[in-house]
Amino acid sequence: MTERFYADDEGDGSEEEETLAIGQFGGRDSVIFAIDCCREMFELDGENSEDTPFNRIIEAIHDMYLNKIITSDKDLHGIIFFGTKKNNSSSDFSNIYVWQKLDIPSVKSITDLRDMQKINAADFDTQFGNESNKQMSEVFWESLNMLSATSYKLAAKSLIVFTWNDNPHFGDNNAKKRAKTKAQDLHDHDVDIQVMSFNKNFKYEPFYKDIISDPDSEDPFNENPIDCIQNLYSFLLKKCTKQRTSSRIPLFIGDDIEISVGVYTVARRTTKTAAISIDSSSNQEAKRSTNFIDTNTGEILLPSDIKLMQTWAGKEIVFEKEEIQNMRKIGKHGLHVLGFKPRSAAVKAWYHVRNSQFIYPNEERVKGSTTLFHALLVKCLAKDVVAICSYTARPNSPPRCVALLAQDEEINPETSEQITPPGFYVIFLPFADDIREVDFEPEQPKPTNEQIEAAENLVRKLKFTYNPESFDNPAIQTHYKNLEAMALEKEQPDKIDDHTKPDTEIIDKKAGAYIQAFKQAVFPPGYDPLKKATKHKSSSTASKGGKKPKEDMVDVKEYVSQGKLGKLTVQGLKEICRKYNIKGTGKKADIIQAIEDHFTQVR
Amino acid sequence: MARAKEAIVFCLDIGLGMQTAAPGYPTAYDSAVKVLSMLIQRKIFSESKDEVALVLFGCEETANRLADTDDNSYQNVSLAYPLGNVSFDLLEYISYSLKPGTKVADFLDAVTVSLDILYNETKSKKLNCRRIVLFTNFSHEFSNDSLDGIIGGFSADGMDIDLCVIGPEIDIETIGLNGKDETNDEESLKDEPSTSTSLPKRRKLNHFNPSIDPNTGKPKTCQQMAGEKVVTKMFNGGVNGECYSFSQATKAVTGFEKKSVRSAAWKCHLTLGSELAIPCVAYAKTKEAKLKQTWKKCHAKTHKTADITVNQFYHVEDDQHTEVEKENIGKGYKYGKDIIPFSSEDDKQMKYATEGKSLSILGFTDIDNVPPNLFVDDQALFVLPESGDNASCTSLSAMVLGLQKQHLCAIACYIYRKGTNPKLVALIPHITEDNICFVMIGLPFSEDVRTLSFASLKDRKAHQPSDKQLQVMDELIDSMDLSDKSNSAELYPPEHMLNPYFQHTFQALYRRSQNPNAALTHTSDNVSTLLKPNNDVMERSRVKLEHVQSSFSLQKQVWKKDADLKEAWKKVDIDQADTQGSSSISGLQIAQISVPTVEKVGTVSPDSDFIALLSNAEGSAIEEIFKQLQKKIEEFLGDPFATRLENKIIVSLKTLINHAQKHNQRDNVNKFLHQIKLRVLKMPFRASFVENNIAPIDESVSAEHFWSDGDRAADRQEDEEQEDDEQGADELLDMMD
Repeated sequence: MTERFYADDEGDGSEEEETLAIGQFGGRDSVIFAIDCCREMFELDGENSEDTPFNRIIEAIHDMYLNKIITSDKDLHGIIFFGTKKNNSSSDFSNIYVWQKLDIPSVKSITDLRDMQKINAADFDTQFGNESNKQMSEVFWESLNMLSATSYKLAAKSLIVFTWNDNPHFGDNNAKKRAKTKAQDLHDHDVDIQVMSFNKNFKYEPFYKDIISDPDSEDPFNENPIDCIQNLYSFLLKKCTKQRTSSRIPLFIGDDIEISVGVYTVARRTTKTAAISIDSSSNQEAKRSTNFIDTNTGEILLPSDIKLMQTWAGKEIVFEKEEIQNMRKIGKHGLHVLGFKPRSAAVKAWYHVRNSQFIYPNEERVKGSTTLFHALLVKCLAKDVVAICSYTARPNSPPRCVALLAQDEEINPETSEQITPPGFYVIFLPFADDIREVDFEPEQPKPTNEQIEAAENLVRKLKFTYNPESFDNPAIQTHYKNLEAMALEKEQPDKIDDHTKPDTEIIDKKAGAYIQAFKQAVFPPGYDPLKKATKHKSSSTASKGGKKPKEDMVDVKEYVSQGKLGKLTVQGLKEICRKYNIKGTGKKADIIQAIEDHFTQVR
Repeated sequence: MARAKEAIVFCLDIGLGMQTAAPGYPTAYDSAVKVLSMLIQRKIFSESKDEVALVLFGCEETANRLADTDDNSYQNVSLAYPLGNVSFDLLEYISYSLKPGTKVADFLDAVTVSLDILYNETKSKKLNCRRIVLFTNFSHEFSNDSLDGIIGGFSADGMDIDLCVIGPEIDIETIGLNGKDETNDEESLKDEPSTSTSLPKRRKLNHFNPSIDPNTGKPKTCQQMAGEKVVTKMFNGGVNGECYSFSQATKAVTGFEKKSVRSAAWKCHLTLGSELAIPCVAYAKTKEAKLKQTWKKCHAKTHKTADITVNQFYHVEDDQHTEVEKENIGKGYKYGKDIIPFSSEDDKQMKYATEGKSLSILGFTDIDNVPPNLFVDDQALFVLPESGDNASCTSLSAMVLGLQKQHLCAIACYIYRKGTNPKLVALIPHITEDNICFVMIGLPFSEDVRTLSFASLKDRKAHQPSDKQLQVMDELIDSMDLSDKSNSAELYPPEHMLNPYFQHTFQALYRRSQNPNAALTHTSDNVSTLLKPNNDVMERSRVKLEHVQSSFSLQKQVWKKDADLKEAWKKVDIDQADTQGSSSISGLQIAQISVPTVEKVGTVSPDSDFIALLSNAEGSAIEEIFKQLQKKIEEFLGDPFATRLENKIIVSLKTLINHAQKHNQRDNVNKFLHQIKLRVLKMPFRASFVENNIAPIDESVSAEHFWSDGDRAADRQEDEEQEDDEQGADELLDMMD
């Protein structure tokens, strides 16, 4: 049976190009939330009297799930209540209720969270009961069981404990010891443990200090995450979105100096998840498969029966798949420092060809990497230079030229949160092949100082601090709100805040006078930019030979013989394909080729 | 992307003077042929519609139209390839059939023949550019009697013809100063930056003596100097063109190509508020280039695409892979775990709608708020004023300059056309000597950015570089300077670096087209050197590199398989286990006093539990305790995180073996080892098991031998190979998209 199903070669290629450099999926991130259900968690906080700590936690998790659906819908989450009377756990621990099993978010888990958001102590008691006696060791044990039982391959694993009491096993050393041992078990399994509390007097020293700090861990112990709890949602999001290393690669300076660095994604366009095909009768996912059949014999072809071909200057050139792969193997895997250039000369805005990446040293492959990396960073910052490197991201990806741009660590002095981490950005540089000539008008009038000043006055009025976090993608948000509405059976999708629409009212109000002044300074009297442009546009297209020819009127043969097919739109070309029954798919050039082939053969 | 069409006559000197060179240098002939074939190769693979002709001079035969009418002139000049589209035949001819000539010829004759071809063949054609590319080192005699006529010929009949000279390093400035046309020359130099067609600024390379031809390492002869003077005269006399040396081959290649790839204009209004609209037009300046063609599948035997029929079908993921008819296929989206049916109609109705193309400013922000690491997408565009509109030009330039002065840039919303999703872009002031425009680059949305945070490097005492280490790093950076200080040219300039992958692919395509059955050879030199460390730089920095190497302690950890991360953990664990092994036992004995008695072998510290239990056990209880530990080991092996437990497994096994003799459990333990052998071999434990000498007791089998199995090993290798294949297939898909 398997022979019938070969890899689906067509794919939805829109996004793939970008992922090329990003790296592979190494497993799923997983987070377990363990929520203490003691009385205090259901009491209203004095200052923040609207919600109880429990409500706030559930709300934050709910919001985070909604975000995860968009950004990383493969991540696993689970929720444990502890200090309940009812039990529901794999090992029949008492006072532990596994409310949501470790899984990817689903409509049900989100609706359940929504329903749970406003619950009060009394309702919670009827549903789950309350019991102050609880064993933290069993909470940890159950968490480990949940993580071990999943059939998915896991990458990052975290346990986030929300609690109130900072010394749950006061006076019971055995219970303390057991909890500690179990926590160590979690650390041994690479599970990161975070403990948070809304209790203003919460201290880590009595108990949790030993729980959360892994003696082997290099990360400095974060003393007081309660400060961050002001914005629980964004804090959770940060904690739960693990930065994935897309790869670990060597960095060479000269032939003999080699250190090891991890490569991380900095930014990447989030797109709608591709639509899937479903079997309408059952609403089950229908997978698309492709097989290849010998047109003459009707037999199914094996991969070895298929080669790949391109046609250049009339010659058909055929390769094996492996040969094409090997063409990409040019450079040696890793980053190779070629030398250094002043930052301003080497990194220019208009050089941009690809999303950048970030590198940070790791000690596991080459001990001492961090020290050398640190020295390089310090000196690149001091001298304001970048390292020019050839970069082969994977053993079989073609090399690119990149600049390593030093980034100093920045700390917010108020919250002592890290704003930017220390390390190098990998800035991709273009090749000559990527740079195009843009013609400028030879003699442009230069603006006068008054005109420039008018512009300065204007732009000063409309200054703001740009931060990517403050702009949501309206198209993506709309899409997911729609899905959400359908999935959660809302009557109307939630409205989104569209930050991409300029608020002309405010702009006019704040800077209207300056805009007028600027216009007066730069535009001659009576100048109407809108009118003129449209006029200009129509006249310019007219001079270029009128409208695009309608495809049905086109003498295709003439176009072919004159090599003018390129003038037609893809739409038009496809029409021709349909009309003459030509198999034309792919890029425009491919379709043109197909049409040309068709007509040259006919001749 | 409108592509301009050109007519080019390649005019190649193959005469005797081209064939000499100092030892260790290639001859001018070889260099010229190399550049020429590269040019033609790239023409083919850029699907160029340009028409080219090849004129040889210095050859035995004479074959040109002018010589036909005049028997005494234009001798030894021959039209080898008439004007037409580039083809593999031409490339083949240049690579294989072309032989160095045996005669000498006047390069001005050859230029005249080329001019004649362009006149006769292209008069009626609509072309963007006509060009003569002259390859020569000017080592032959020439007669410049009719020079003025020739200069005139470049622009006669409104047919502007460009001249490109690819030859020795010509120092136009020097020649200009010595020559008569001093004033003219200076003027033309002043004009330089404003027109793209004038002479490129020449850099004097300080380690080259201008009177030595750097290409051949030989001093320039008077003859050559005279030839160069003539060329200078031609340029000064109004001929448009450029000069490249053979060593600047890539520069020459890119110089040609840039003119042939043009971006489509995107016309729009840059708006601010409801009142301000500036007509502008955007062109892609930088955009990641892709191969012009995709790979098509063809039948391995017939090499025909038509012999493969693609059959697509849908099936449900059940045991039978039940096929679903195409009519029954609907559309849906995943919402976490669930599937939400969502028809295309739903999509159309509910999706975010945009009204039409626009570029509207949302506000202005400090330029430092949009560092290059934030940029997304694969292109950078130039936003210029609408051509021919002075008001547009003034307003846009004033805005750019105003922003520049305020150290600001604009954040705008960009909608490509009706229906496309809006994007956030930065409009960054771009000001050069002659041009003022915006650079437009994509910015991420909140969904797109990944917040990175890493341990501070400053706080980590263990990783602080010493002052000495910082000093050697400082010196290393200085020694590896690539910028164009000290008069030598900047190294690795993006504007002149060719993508080695394209070059490599072109070569492979070309070789395969020549010889369909031969295996592909490895990367040729000129590809692999494109991104290699520069020898001069490496020589310069050799000592500093050694200093850095000796000042930093770098220890490469041992890797069995580079890609296997799990191995990394294992290695670290074992190192620790070895040092901790002995102390943990003594530590346990103290702990025993306070710890409640162990009742059974647990998961946390099975080995010490085991020892503790054994110390009090007698008779059949011993066997039971051994069983308990064995059971634990089996549990560990079955754990999904087994690799992470390797340390425990090894310690437990060692403890088991060490205590076997004393308690008379040898056979029991040996049996157990054989039992788990197959399972262990499926896991990546072998090396460490061997290292720890875990083997059956007294069986005279070494650990090395015991934990290997011919068949299994082979299986494993096959598995690995398969993995590689899969990865490869993915990449191939990436590439074909």
